[in-house]
Amino acid sequence: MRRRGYAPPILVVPAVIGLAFLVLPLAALVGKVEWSSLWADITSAQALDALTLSLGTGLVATAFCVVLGVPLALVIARASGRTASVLRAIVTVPLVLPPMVGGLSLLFLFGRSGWLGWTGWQIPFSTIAVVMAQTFVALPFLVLALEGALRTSGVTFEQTAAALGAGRWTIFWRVTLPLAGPGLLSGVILCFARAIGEFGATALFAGNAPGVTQTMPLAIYTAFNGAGVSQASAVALSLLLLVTAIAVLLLVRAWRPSTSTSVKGVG
Amino acid sequence: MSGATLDARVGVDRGRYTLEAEVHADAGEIVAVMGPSGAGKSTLFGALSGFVPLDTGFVKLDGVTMDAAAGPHVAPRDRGVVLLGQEPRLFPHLTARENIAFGPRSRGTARTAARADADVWLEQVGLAGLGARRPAELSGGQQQRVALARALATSPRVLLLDEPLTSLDPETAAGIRALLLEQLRVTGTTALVATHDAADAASLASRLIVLENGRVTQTGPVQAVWDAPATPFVTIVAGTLPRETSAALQAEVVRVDEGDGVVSARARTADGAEVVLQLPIGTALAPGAVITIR
Repeated sequence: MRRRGYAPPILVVPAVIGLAFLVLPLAALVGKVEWSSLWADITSAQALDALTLSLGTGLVATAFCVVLGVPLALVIARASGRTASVLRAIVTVPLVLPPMVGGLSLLFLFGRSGWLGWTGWQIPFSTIAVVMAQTFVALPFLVLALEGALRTSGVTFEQTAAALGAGRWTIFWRVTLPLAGPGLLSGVILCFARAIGEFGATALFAGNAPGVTQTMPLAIYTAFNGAGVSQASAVALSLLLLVTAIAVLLLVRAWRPSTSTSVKGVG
Repeated sequence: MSGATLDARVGVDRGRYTLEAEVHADAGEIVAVMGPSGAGKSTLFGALSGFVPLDTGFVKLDGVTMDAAAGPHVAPRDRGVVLLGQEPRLFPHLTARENIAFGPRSRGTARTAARADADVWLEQVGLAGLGARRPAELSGGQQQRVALARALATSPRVLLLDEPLTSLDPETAAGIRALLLEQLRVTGTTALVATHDAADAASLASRLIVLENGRVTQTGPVQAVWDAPATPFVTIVAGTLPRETSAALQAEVVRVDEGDGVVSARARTADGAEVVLQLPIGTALAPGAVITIR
């Protein structure tokens, strides 16, 4: 048996080029880091502002995503085929939409001349706007990851729990959510990663005010336009985002639903 | 609460297929339900436990209507009708002890009391000391024992057993069968047992309901149904009964005739009954020999 199949060996060349194209730029970024001043670069006042703002808004946005996304995922997972497909497509739109367009859309809904302008809410160009932009782009990650897990675990365990006398909330907390736990966790982690990496929607909807709406990605962008944080700080922040991304990937892998959830025993 | 009297006339219309079955079980009685695949056993159980809505008929426990086409509809959680299926369906994220404690805790029993109770149940089903294991760490038979304990721990008014032994190997199945019989008797639980196995029906139940194409085609005491099959299905099923269930007969050969390509031997049992055996030509058998017929 040829375990590696029958693909033409020459295909390994474009494969390696592709891999290099993904890895080399990141290596170049790491090479640009000035390790001696790394700590000082990260802890410079403006960089620290961006860092804390990113972490704070990222966490709040993730919390919003959980509160709104878990019920949404449940609704989609329990909907019948056609409805579920439509809902899933709707949720996927922000995922594939250029974030700039998302930011513009938020502006047209919440801006002074937007649909909700009559309310007098001062949302755009505030920290709240940052959180909303992040929630907008990150929510689909959580919903889709969790929806898959909920659909897979199905309703048979819920029925069993109901027959044993459990009420709806007991079933939700003690059966439904724990069974979808791995999906929820990877959804939350991906969601957080997407939130702190968010740039386009934030730039349009929240602006770029240091300490108020200037998150890490915006600070990095600004630095290379010759303003705000130093370029060394920008590189240091980029490194931080890269490390976060890798850590997130490792976490998601580690918690991927393993074979331990299979119910069948032996003998 | 202990076993309730079950009275039901279940009508479910699925267009191409309709179920129209009358079911009765006295309090504490074990009734077997047999039928070919697709006869409607699962739908019947689903309707009794409240997951399949009725189109006609009713489900009554101790004379109180749990379900009727025109209402009321008592939710599955408030019925006390628990299903134990072919798959144990233990909650994979909970330990054996937590699985058993799940029902009582859902009904408001304090955590410590429910767990202590669960340990007693584990002992009852022969799994003392395995309470901390998760389902994946238990064998199929052990999982089924936990599932039985989990069902009985809720003191179900009616227990529905849907092929509870089918996915187990014969030895394990024998152990669970004995356990089922013992625990259902001890707890006085009313139970319906769906099975494909005539021997299971005979050993577990006192009465039998035969369900074919969504209709009850025969019902009565198990042995009476075997003795007078009303349909080809029942005839076939009765024929699968292991012979061990009838005692072996000793008979003395009184006459042997050869001819027509067979040896025919007439034998008489101790109580005077006579049998004629057609044996292959060349069989050496003389009057006075004692033969055993199984």
